[in-house]
Amino acid sequence: MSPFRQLRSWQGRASVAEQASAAVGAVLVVAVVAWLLVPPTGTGAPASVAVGGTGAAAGSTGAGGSGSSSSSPGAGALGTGSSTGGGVGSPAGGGAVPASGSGGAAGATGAAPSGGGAPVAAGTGAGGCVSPPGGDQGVTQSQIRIAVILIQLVGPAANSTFGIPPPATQQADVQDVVDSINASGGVACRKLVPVFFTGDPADTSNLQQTCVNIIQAQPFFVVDLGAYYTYPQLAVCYPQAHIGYVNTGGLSLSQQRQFYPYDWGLFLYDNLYRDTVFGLKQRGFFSPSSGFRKLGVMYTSCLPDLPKQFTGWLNQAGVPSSAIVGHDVGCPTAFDSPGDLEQAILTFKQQGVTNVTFVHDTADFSNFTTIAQQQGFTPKYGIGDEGIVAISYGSQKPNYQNIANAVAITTYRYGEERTPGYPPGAGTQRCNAIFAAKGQPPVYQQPIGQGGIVCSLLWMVQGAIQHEPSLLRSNVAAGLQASKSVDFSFPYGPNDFSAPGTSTAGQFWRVDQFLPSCSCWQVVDRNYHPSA
Amino acid sequence: MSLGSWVLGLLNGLTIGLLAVGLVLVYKANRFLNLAHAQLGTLSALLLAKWVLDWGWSWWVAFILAVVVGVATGLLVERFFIGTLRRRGATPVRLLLMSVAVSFVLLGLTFVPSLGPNMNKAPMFPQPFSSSATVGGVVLTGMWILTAALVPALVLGLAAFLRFTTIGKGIRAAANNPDAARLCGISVSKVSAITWGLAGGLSAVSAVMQAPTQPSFNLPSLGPYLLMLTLGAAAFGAFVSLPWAFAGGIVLGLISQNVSAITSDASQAELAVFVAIFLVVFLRGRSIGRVFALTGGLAEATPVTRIPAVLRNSPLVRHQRAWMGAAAVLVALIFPKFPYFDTAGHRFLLILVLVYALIGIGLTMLIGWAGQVSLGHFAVVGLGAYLAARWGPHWSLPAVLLVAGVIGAAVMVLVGLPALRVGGLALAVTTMAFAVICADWLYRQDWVGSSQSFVNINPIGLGPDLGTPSSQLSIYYVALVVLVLGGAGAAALRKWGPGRLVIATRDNENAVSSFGISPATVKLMILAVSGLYAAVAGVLWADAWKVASPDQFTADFSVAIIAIPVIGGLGSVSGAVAAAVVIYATTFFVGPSVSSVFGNFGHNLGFQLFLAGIGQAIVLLQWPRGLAGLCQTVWQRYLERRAPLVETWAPVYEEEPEVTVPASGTPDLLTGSPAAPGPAARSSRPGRSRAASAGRNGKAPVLATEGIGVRFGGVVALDGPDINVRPGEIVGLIGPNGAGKTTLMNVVSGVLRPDQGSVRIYGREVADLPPDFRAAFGVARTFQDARLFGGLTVTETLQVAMTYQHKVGAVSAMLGAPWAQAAEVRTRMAAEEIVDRFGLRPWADTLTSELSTGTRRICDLAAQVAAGPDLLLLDEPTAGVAQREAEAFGPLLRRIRDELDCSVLIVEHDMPLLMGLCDRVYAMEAGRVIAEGTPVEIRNDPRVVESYLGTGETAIRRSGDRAEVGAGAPAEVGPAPSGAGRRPGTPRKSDP
Repeated sequence: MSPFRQLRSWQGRASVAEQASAAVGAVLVVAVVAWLLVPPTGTGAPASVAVGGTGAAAGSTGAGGSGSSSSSPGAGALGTGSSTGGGVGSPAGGGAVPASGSGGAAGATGAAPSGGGAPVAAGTGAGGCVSPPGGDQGVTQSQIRIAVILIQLVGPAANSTFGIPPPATQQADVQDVVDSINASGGVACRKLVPVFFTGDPADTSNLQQTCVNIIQAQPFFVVDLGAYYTYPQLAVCYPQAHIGYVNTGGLSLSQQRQFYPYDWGLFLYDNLYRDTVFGLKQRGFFSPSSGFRKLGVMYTSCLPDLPKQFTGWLNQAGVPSSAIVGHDVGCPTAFDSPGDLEQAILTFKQQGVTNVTFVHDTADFSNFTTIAQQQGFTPKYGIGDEGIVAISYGSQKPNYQNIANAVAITTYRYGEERTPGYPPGAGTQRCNAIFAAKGQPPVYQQPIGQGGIVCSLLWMVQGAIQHEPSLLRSNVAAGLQASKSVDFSFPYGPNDFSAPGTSTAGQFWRVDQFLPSCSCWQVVDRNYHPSA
Repeated sequence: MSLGSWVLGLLNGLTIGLLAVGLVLVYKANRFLNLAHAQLGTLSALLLAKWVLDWGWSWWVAFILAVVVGVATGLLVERFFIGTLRRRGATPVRLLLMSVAVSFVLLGLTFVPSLGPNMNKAPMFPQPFSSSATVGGVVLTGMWILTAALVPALVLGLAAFLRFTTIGKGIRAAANNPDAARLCGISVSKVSAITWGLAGGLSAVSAVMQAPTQPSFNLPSLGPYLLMLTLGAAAFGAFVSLPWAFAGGIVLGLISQNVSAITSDASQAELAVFVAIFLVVFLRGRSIGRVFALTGGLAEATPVTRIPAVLRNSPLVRHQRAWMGAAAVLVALIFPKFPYFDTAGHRFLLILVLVYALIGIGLTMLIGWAGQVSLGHFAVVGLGAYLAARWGPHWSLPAVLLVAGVIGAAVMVLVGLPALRVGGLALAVTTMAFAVICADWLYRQDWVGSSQSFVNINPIGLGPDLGTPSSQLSIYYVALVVLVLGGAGAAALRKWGPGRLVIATRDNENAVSSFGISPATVKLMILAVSGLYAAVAGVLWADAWKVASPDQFTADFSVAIIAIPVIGGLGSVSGAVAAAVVIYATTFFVGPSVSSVFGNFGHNLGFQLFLAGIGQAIVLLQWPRGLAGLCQTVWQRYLERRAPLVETWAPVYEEEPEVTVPASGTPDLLTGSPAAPGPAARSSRPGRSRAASAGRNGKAPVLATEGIGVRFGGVVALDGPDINVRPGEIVGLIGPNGAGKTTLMNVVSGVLRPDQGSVRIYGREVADLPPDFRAAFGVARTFQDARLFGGLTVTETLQVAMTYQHKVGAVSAMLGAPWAQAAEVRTRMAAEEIVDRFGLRPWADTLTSELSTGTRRICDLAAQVAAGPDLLLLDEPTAGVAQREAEAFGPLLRRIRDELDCSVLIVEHDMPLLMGLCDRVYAMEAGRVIAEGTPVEIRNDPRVVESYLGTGETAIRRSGDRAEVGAGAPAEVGPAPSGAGRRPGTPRKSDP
């Protein structure tokens, strides 16, 4: 019997009391279902605003200056913060309120997790330095606490496979650089205090666990030595929590804008590939006189807008669409399938491709060149350096014969360490001095220039905090812009942070070339060119 | 498309085909999907590279040795992992999980640096020779030339080996019927070892052939996409045909390559392969289904805990599950408050454990209850996460859970539709393909997920003014509430009608159909519920992560989470939860400590894979029934030890007499009261169709067949036997083996569709109706094997038989709706009544798989009575029943007929019984009716005597010996004739 017929059958037999009870129950059920299905009041965005005092996301709205937060539970935190002005953060999530904070900024701090930093008025410190006013989580009278994420891929053995030193070495490097910073007066009249965490680039759960632990630890800023390199999308949890975050990789322009001012990187993909096109053009890469007929473009669709933009830049550079043969490898978790790479190579060969480039597809460079060599396909390579130069000597190295004389447009300094007679820059020398004092080799001799990465990232953060108008997480990017530039160590190139909205480096590029004579990349154009 | 694309497709297809051949070979021998097949040869390929590149050996010598290593690997895996588990009677799904563990172990070995070559010296994998040729623009390297020549030769050689050699015939024989092979002197274990050796060798060849183009021998390169291709190719051959599997590999290779050539888009190529695999499963469904039918149950029946009578009223025993559940919830409530878990990171991991537990419950329903294997469940989890990202900002959490759950259910049904006709194997293929395509394509579509690499997920509110759980602790408690509700819903589903139906469908689809239940509907239902759980888990996942990206939901996860229901003990909801806790809490919280014990080496991925694989294998070997089985054993021991102690001081309640279950016995039908059930089952049959009622009122024949024709190939099974059964009649069908009696029963009950002719029930044509529809006309039947439902108790079996009249939906059962409770009470009471009337009380709570043949037949008959039929079809109901009980069948059937007012069509070889029981008898021979009449007329019909009864004086006398039994006269059974196992008076089945 169908439930409906059973219901009718029951209806015939049930007492009045039972029927009345059932009717009331039915009404309640309908009401509950309706209540569940009807969206909460307000627009979509304020739904995320309705975060309690402990919600990091509530701060995002506050920081963004959304006045609508006053109608949400988050407003309680805001109100408390405002009224106590300058008080110490309450356990209930009041947070600390800057003396000069705006409404939006107050929202950010008001929604901070329980506890918080001590607000400090602008003034002169004991050492005669000038401290920015304000305070935030991770900031005390004497310290600024930052989280540092060390890479623990799969232990030292695997770290070394990818040219990454073990976590203990990474930590020691960070500590050395921090000690150096503190020895020279610290940051904003405070000592920089690193709190160390580890992240496994191959384990998404571990990365997320690291993130929530760091959020709970309430640092002022997060420096990632590369743990999120494989899964950069997971790193957005820091900007989501309104904690500034910088890692060793790049950012897309849309991601930078979405999470500004909290998401930082060492270059913008958009800039890198635009510079690649015009840089290659400058080198005559697309010139028929140098043998160019068609360009094969291997690209992933992980950043779906980038390939379209790339084609547009190529057109601007005089490469017509008819001379472009693209191959989309999708967005594989690791590598494209060998069959697909073989097909791409066959297509390139059949269509008369003479030059090949890669757009956001570093992972397949090694396999592509290996198969291409097997297939007797030896094009000219011109690539934007997302890290290809750095990984050219490890387990994922490309086929050296196949990439002979390949050209790389790079924002890094990789290549100079193998270029005879190349003098280290000032930043590199400064970094070398720090490590030399600890008995460590210069950064040129360290795997992938690890020490230089540490120096550059920490100096970037130091410069930004030092120049903050007030010590707030939301102001660190403004501090970076105020710092204008930081003299990075190898392997990072020069930068210019002065433009509004900037949160990445990589404003200059130069050219490396893979030379068969040394089976290595060397700098062939020592001049850095400003990004177009 | 170009010639080059065809060449590349062919070459890649050859290697896929070779892998598929290896997979099929193992499947033929062991009847399970070996997911470690690709990994069996990875070590060989690495060693070959090392020997050639580092040690300078000849490639050919190294190749031969590499194949030997592959063979040895296969033998070792069979000896220490698969064979050991198989000898313990492990189910296919447990063996599948063991193969996953083996793949971890083998992959772990590939990370040992000393086993691989120094790639810095020579970055290219060594080739057999340096010559090359160019075809269609493709440079055929030495390895590809070898592939083109060797792979077809290998497959042909293998086919010839299996077809013409004694060992090959032994392998095929053992594959088709292990028991018969054993009786023929074939060592099944030796055959299995040989098969695994061959598979290892084939895998080694595959790995070496693929090595030059593989980026590495790690998880991604040998992972889901290759597995999807291999499974898809094997599906071409219905998992048993080597040539078709090989051809399937080539077809998929060609499709993949040519679509890639046309679109220049790897995702489109994968999508095309996905569609092709779906089509193959759909088109080859019946063939795969036939193969799967030979596989047997995927999940074994869980034994019932026997509770001594003295303990039945103990509160601890009566409410044991409730106590355990309450304790578990209490622990879960306070767990995150412990100091160690007082960090957001640890609480986040605790949430993941709860989410995995919820997924595990859904998988338990699918694998443990329904016997369907899903290798793509995590894709539905991902779908739930993306739906949460889409609707989370606008809707409340309960609304998102509800809608995502419904969509997840619908998607799971869609993915499972092609596999519905088949079973677990086909579902494994389609779900694996779905998982691959989700991560690589579907999630990247803006109409599902996002073309960007990730989507943000805002905290989802509980509802207007109820706040938003944004801290890890609050999300943990939300997840806990959902898990508790999910667990309770699953437990209710299993306990009540829908759950019983799922188990019954898993165990015996034909029998379920005969009770008016559509197996397809039941499978759809459980697929949907399982998908609902996965999608709901996805919403919680999203709420915890706050970000969703395709990388989080790759097919690897789907394979890995099968461990939850298997280690939990297939079929146990609480076991699934416990397994999720054990597996993931151990991984998250204990694993790092264990790794650190081993120092730096402990952090090596290879070591971790090895450790995980070995750990999983040990669990499977040590506790074959999983955690639930382990706990049940401990509980049973406790009860057995406790019972004597209680007995010494506690009185035994009179109303709960202790029941001693005979190890082998049958209900005493003579001394019991095996009458028909009376009011409970027969008083009202509201589900009965109007047609049936109208027919009954119109006095039309209950059954009438006309001109039925059935052919099996060239054999005519039925050649127009016209029979009819009038209301209230008991009609017998006799005839020698092959006469077509059972075929006719199959046609009447709908198990078999006739090539021609008419079957009318109460005047309504039903020849084209499926069996479950015929129950609406009051048709019920027993089967010769009387297998019933091995995973259900006797009482539950009777309740299944009554389901048609007391249907309850899955949602109603999970929510504990009043009508569901009422239906449960009614069917339970009716079943208890029938149990008593048939003398089945001692076996009421015994699994039917544990019953003796005779008792099972009584149970079968009781189930038919419970269904309250108008026409009862009995196929050799006394086969395997002791003589004493068989003699009781006559009076019993008459009483059933009288009380139910039904008609009976009975096939029986017990002539005395039949002659004393039937009103009329049809005699059949070679698919035709050769005689019809009363028992006396039939007994004296010379054609019947000639063809069936025999012409001997003794035979004629025996055929009427008990002719009067039915009328109440005492039987005088003569001496047993020659021929063991036959009851007196039973003609030889082969008697002409």
